[in-house]
Amino acid sequence: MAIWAFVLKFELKPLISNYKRTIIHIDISSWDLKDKYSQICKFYTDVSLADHAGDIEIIINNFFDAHYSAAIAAILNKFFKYDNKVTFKAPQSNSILTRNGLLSFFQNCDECIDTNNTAIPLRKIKVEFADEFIDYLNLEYFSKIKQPAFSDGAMSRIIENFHELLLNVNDHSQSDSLYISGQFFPNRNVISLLFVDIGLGIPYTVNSYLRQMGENEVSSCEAINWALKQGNSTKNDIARGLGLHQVFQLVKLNGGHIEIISDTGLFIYSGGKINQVELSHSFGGTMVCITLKTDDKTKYFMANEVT
Amino acid sequence: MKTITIFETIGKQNCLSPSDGDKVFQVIASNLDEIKIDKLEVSFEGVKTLSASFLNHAIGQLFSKFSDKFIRSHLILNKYEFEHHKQTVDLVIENSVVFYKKQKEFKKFKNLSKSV
Repeated sequence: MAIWAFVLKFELKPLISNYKRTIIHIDISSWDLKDKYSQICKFYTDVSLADHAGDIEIIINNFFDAHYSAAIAAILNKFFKYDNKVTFKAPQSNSILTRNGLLSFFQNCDECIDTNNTAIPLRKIKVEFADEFIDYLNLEYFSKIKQPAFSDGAMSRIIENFHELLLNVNDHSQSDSLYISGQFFPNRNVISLLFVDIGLGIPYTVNSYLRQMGENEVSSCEAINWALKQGNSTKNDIARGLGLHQVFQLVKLNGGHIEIISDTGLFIYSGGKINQVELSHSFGGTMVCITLKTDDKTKYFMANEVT
Repeated sequence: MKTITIFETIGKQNCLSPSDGDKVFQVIASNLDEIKIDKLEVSFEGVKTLSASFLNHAIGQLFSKFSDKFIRSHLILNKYEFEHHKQTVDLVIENSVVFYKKQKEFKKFKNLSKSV
């Protein structure tokens, strides 16, 4: 009897005539950042076009850098909110995606303990919960960074910058939650953290603001550039516009890299150079990926702490 | 001279969220409304993290309600835990002065356009 109940439970859905199950493939194993983010944007399009009343299976081909989990979770969560079953097949990345919590985010399975201490788990954090965000950063992110070292003042400044980014991304998206995930790569000596929101996006918000101010609209890349400049803000009621600029300064000092993706705009800062590309697929929201170098033996102080 | 301690006003070492900034703004603004000619000291003692978003709401918003001259002559901001907090405060004030000046000019321009 128990066996028949099991069979019925799992075979019921395919018997319903209008039941649909979508299978979507994603491969972001390319080392080229433009290809990588193009694939994520294509995934966004594929998921948006899927039948949202049915179930969805995601097949992750090749290796998957786990810090992109926040993007996958945010996209799926936007379009599959109800009782749809979301499953994953990730033969080459199953272990890390179990440890960082992507699989348990959608499937009924437990998040495993990360004995390697390299996974920075996937979280969905309400923007107003600043204390939860600070706890997450301290426990999951900064605890993994042994170098570079930071003075108390410098650490305070970095946390402030990250929090400002959280709020700024929220301002641009007008959504209430942010998805965050990261990964420490000891072999590459880098640690990456990805912030994702699914909302209006920087180009939409910047162009709405520019129109209101009687100025010409700009491209997606130009809108991201605009948002990076100190003092620029689309908020009319309060002076804003320091967060993205300050985070960018931090990445420059560390020699790390930063990527910002919104709509079709891709902004890359890497190796001291800025590269901007208009992508063929759009991303309905904003992703900010911050990668810091961990082979930097410098101890950073604030300039005024040394004098 | 009256003193307001931010840490005591919101009960937190992490001064990050705009909503906490609004609480501080309300306290400072009501005190500035009351004292008019006296000095008001705002102490940052015990504040470990301080975001520009918090400050935009706590301090920056004051420039929409009071003049730059009035704020500078009546408000004393001091006892920072870290020197960079003072720099962030200065930057927020600089930004806010420009922002609210632009906003006032834009409103004037809109009103002018309507009357034309």
